[in-house]
Amino acid sequence: MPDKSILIVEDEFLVGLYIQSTLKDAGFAVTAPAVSVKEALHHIAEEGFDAAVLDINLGEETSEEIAVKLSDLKIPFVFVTGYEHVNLSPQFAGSPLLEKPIEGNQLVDTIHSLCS
Amino acid sequence: MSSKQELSSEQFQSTMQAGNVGAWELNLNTGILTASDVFKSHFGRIPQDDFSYSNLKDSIHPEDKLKIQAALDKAQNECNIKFRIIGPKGKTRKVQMIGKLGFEASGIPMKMGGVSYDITEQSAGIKQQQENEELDDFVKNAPVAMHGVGPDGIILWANSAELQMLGYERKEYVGHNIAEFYVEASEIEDVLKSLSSGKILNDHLVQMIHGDGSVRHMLLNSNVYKKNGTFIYTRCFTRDITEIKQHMEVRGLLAAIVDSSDDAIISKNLDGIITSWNKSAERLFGYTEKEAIGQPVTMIIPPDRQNEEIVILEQLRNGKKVDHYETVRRRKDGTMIDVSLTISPVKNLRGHIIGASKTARDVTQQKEAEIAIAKMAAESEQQKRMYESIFSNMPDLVFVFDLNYRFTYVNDALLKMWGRTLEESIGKNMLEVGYEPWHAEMHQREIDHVITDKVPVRGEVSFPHAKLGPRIYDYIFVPVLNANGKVEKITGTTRDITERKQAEDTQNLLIDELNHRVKNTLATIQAIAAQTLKQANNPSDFIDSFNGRLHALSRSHTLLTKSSWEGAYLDEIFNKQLPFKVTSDRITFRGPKVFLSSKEALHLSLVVHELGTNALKYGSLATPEGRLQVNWKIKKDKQNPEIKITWIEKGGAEVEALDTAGFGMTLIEQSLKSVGGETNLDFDPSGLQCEITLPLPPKKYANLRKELLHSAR
Repeated sequence: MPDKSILIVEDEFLVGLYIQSTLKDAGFAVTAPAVSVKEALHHIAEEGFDAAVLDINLGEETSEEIAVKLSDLKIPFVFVTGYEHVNLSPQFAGSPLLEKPIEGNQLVDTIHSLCS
Repeated sequence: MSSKQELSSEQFQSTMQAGNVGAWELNLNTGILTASDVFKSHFGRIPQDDFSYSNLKDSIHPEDKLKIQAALDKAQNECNIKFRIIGPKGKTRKVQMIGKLGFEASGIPMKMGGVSYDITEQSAGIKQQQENEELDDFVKNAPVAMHGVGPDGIILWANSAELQMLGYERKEYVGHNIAEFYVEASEIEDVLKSLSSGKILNDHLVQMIHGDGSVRHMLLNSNVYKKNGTFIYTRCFTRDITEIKQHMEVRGLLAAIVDSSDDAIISKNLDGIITSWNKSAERLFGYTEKEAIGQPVTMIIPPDRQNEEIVILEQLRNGKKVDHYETVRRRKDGTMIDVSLTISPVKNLRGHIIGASKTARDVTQQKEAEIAIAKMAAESEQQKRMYESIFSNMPDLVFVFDLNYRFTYVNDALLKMWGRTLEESIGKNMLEVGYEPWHAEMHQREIDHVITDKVPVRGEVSFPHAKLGPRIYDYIFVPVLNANGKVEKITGTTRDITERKQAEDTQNLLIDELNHRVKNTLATIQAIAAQTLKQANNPSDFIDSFNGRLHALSRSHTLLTKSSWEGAYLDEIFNKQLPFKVTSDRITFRGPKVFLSSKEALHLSLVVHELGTNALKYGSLATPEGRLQVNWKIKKDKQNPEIKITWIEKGGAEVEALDTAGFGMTLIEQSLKSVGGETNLDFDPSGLQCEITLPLPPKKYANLRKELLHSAR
């Protein structure tokens, strides 16, 4: 069985790097994190993913558009954020959410459960 | 002689006798009087008596003699005289003699003859008639009201004075029953009853109804004319004493008022001697009426004010009134009292001033009260001014509503907020001063709540300020209770909390942002720690690398904090992040002033730190001869202007290709991608070269830079 492929969207390079290496160490197939909505949507169009990790705030934009796209494709995802109060559309109110700094094991467990 | 048949002498005589007509003739030459028996009888004589002319003259009443002489003198050919005679028995009778002169042929008067009548009875009748007429006039036109009443109560007659007094036409009164004109019918029944029993009424008081409907008080004087013991009529004299009675009542009332008055009322004559002294005067001055009357009024005047009385008396003599004259008087026990005097001259019926009435009021307490009231009023005025000053200069809005939601007070701040004048606002309700209907209704409901529950109501609302636009206000409505515990007014204060609200929002935002930044920083540190650990050969290696990176992060934070995390200048980043162990002449960096955003600055800081560390460990800074040159320039020719930074190491140890998979290299090569930058490394054997391209920050950073430069000066 091939490794599950995970999309990472994170504009903070170091945080992205951490998520990337954590998931890679856990046996997932990961690419370099996308830093913008445009880049993320491009990745989604190019290849298939089994799950995604979405940082909500991407500088001037948010990752909601990506979440909408993923929902359409039935690809499960987890939000990550450094904000305590998150203003998400009601449709994403029940989505899984991890707070920064992310606990590595928790991230891995969440992705596992999303992929199963 | 005439051919006519004439009466014979006998016939004539008998006729004369039957008509009781006397005949007489006086010879003017001889003085002999020829008289018939009837003539004689007129003079109280019998036929047998002699009756001469001198007898006739002697019979004339002494008082009429001159009258006869005068009449005879006046007479020409005839005479007609009436006169009284006194008969032989002393009885007075009245006689009329009519006569004519007889003449001789020569025309000389020869005789006078004529007839005589006894007019005693006739005269008496005339006199009676005259007397009757006079009495009638007396009764009819007397200025005293009179009337007669029959036994059945019907008014038989009334004189003009009576009709005038009672205000009726004759036909409205005479012929009517007298009871109709009495207030109490029983009153006249009693009157008639006692009159018919023979009593005389003297000044009997009755009440009668005037023609104008008013009740008049009458004094009745009456008795009864009886014939053969039968009541024929009453003779009634009536006098209207209504006015007198009213005067008396007023007088009685006045006396009672004077007696019961709380003011001391004294009268005195022009010599200043007390002539009356009421009960309150006794109380006020301590002297009894007995002690005071007859004493000079100066006894209640303090020695140092005795001259006041002289002035007062002088004014009174001139007919002037002294009104509310405030002075001091002395009581019997010697204590002084403050009094207010009103002194009026008293005139007698002829208008002469005969004294004065004096009203004295004890104003001791009143004076104290006046002083207290004046003090209170002054304090209240002062307080009012103070409150007005406070309210009108207060930046908060102050207002008062009545129970009909109308503004009865608004301060200057509120007027400014509305953009209205005081005249346009007082007495107006909220709709009239420009509140939206929903807003007015909301406040009216709140006012109702304040009135009903007597508790303050507080709230926040937005309202467009006339000059500042929409503002947020914090308001409170407070009940003002009257003495009975009912709400009589609603006061309100309103504070513009727009700035505070904005500050709160900003603060919340800042806290959120700070939290986010801390979390992100922790996440960054977590990533650095994890990556550093992966490459570390041993714990000491890890600590060195990790500490270096942590400090680099810390320095960039310090730098960014200076600009409130807006960003940092490029040269400052190099300044902070290049290893300071190296002397500065070996490191040069040069370029225009460029301000980077905080995210760019943060990432670049870590890249510069990695490059610097690398140079210090393995590159040009590892040898004493090595140099480092950093240059940057702005490239505006491209569509998106960018900054190009060139890192050139020279004179160091020979460069080998480094482990590009290491965390440091990854950081240098990859980390700027997220801010749209690019890094190219060239491992030239003479020294490492690195080219970093960053997009030129947007204009807002340029503007901010100007501000920072400005504030730095």
